[in-house]
Amino acid sequence: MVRYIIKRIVAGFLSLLMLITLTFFLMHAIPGGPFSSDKYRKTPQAVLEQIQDQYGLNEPVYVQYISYLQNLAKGNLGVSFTKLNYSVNDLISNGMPASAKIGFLAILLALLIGIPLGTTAAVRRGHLADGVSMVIATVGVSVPSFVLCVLTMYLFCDRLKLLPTYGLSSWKCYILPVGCMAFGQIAYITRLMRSSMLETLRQDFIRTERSKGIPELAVIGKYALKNSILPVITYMGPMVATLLTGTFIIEKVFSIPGLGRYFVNAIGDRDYAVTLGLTIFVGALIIICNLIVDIIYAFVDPRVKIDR
Amino acid sequence: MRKKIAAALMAAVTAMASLSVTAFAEGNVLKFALTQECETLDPGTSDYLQSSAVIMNLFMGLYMTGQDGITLTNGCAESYDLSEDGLTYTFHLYDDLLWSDGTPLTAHDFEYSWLRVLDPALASGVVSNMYMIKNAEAYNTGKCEADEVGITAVDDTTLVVELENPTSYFIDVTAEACYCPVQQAAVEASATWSQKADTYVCNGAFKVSEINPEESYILTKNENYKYADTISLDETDIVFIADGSATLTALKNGEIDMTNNISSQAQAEFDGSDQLMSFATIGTCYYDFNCEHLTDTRVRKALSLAIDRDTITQNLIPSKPVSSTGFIPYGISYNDSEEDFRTTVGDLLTFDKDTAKSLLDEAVADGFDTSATYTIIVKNDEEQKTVAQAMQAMWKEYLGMNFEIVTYESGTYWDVVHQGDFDVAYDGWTGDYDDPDTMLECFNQVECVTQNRWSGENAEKYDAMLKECAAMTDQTSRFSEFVEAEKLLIDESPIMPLYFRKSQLLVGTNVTYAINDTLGHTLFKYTEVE
Repeated sequence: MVRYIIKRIVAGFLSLLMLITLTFFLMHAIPGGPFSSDKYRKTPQAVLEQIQDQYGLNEPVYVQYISYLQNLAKGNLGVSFTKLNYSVNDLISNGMPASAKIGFLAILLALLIGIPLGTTAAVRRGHLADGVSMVIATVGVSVPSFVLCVLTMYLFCDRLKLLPTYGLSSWKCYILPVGCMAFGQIAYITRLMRSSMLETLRQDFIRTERSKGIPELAVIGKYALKNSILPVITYMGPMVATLLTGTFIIEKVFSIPGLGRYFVNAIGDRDYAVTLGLTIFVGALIIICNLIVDIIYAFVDPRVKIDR
Repeated sequence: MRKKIAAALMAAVTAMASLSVTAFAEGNVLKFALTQECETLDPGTSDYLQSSAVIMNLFMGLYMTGQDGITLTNGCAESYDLSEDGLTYTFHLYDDLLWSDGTPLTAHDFEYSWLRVLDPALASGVVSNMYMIKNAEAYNTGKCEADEVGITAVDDTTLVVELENPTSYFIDVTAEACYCPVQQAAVEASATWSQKADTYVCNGAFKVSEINPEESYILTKNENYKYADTISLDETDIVFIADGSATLTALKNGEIDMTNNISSQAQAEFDGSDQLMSFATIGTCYYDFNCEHLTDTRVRKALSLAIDRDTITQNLIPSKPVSSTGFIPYGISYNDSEEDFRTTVGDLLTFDKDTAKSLLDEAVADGFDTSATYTIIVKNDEEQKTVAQAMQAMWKEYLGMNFEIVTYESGTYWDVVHQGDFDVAYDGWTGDYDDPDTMLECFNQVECVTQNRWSGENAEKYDAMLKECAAMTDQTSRFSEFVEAEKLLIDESPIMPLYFRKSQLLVGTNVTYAINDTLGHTLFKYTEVE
């Protein structure tokens, strides 16, 4: 087990290094630079040179790459080019709490609704409950989140005036963003859960348990659920990482001071440091979440041997 | 058990009730929505509208913009003397100026702050706004020492400033963000002083009580502000809402009182209403002609004459700006008089498709090729694309010339312009001070290299005229020189002005007075709410 974890961590570091290298050079390959936009039109060339010098942008790209790695080794993700005097570490620690709060609630909601809904659909296959949950799941998968965001905002904020439009100042503010973020996930988890549960219910051991006279609820809850939840757990690895770090659309529409917005803005602004920093952060988080998922596997299903 | 649940419920209800109480703070509070957080709250490095809009409410320079958003009034300075040669300004500061932390503010603070902006180590993007000060450019580019720069605090209330050339608008620029004082103790205590409320020291109408990154700034009235008794707001909450329709909904629901983020939907919904306010801005939206491709002046003139500006500005642009009749917009005074420069000079640009056609025909007779397809480049922006399509159609109809439109994402757009990879390119310029120079300077030879590539005899003449203006002390002849320079610019048409920029505010019904200055900064210190 320990050996396996160490192996995974080493592999994780290698993939992270590849991710950094790729992002770094791709980012620098995009035409345009952080200081060639509208904002710097009035700045004389000599001053621009000076500014670029301060950020080390006049060095050859490979020199910048090496010094970036050196700083990274010290845990320093660099300084933002657009938010003056802000380090990328600051931006992450400022934005992470809001994104994580919304993300955590959305994950919780998605699991609490998705798992029972999928289970019910499988158990009551062909019945009304199955139909209803599959309709929800199909809608959820196919409606893009920006449509959902704009639609719910129009309905609950503009028309009904029930919920606040922006920020996170009260509990009411959480309803729409969490709901919108969870909706697609609920749909996905429901479908995963349903198909996996159907598979499990066909297994011999379920028939055995039933024949023992164990109540149906216990058969499902105790035996079938444990066996069919594995795909959901697999899916949770990347889901947790991406939801916790926020989504651009939801954070933009509901004005949430989170991380997600930085992603897109930083690429548009050619803010190399922020783009790289966030990529590394999310990349590392995905690797860690996947590792945790693998470890959880071993506990949920002892048949899964990870020590190979 | 049940009692416990009841108690817990009661506690929750009380907690919620107290939450909603804090949401409505006491006193006169204005909630203002900006699209995004400021890049910086340090006046010395702020060269963006988003940042300086907030900074102008937190700091006060020697002079400042008055309640009408246009005229200057006293800020930290009570008066000034100007030497005979127009080169030396002696500012007399009030002796009761205080920082927001209660410590005294003196002329030495100005000396420190201005030299700080000029310090090459700060690498401030706005530094060229100070280059009119003696040796400022030399110091900034490492050619001399700080003590040779023409900024000297003689005593606590006297600041002597020497300039390179007589600059009639120097008093105007002392109101700009980069000329505002910063507290040496605060700046030197922490490199991130402007990022946290407890280290932030300022001297303007408001002080910073809270900085919630990407969420809000809570500004409260600064009791130590020199003119504190004129401020009607107790608090201004600046919130960041990126989405235009969310901003509109928030305004209509009363969650915010005022915004400068006005979507086209808001524009249509509030068209003609008192709640949608417009303010003249010293700025012009224009298009660059690449003079290396369109070498014939007659062609450039023809293209400019063949554009029906009113159709574009009144029908296609939601904010309906005023069509350009020259390059210098309204709002710049003629020779310090009450007269407006634009009104005095009159219209230099019209829509005249017949003259356009005959000019083009002359050029064709001399070998200009109208069968080729030319390129208009714009940024990936709805308004710019619509305008480009209209121009494309007009040029096709009136001149029979073919244009294709290429759009670039904003991160690469300016690089394409700088490389000269276009025939016609979207561009714009916003001035900083009340003098024609603030607009005309953007077409000197140094600047043209990276935009319209205008060169040759007339371009050099234009340059010489502006240089002459910079050194002239006689304002009457200086202004007639400006008039000539603008005429030359329009005659040569390296650019095609389209409309004069304006800034707008959408306000709630509870806002009784709101004002933007001519640069588009919203001045909360003059805002009144019911």
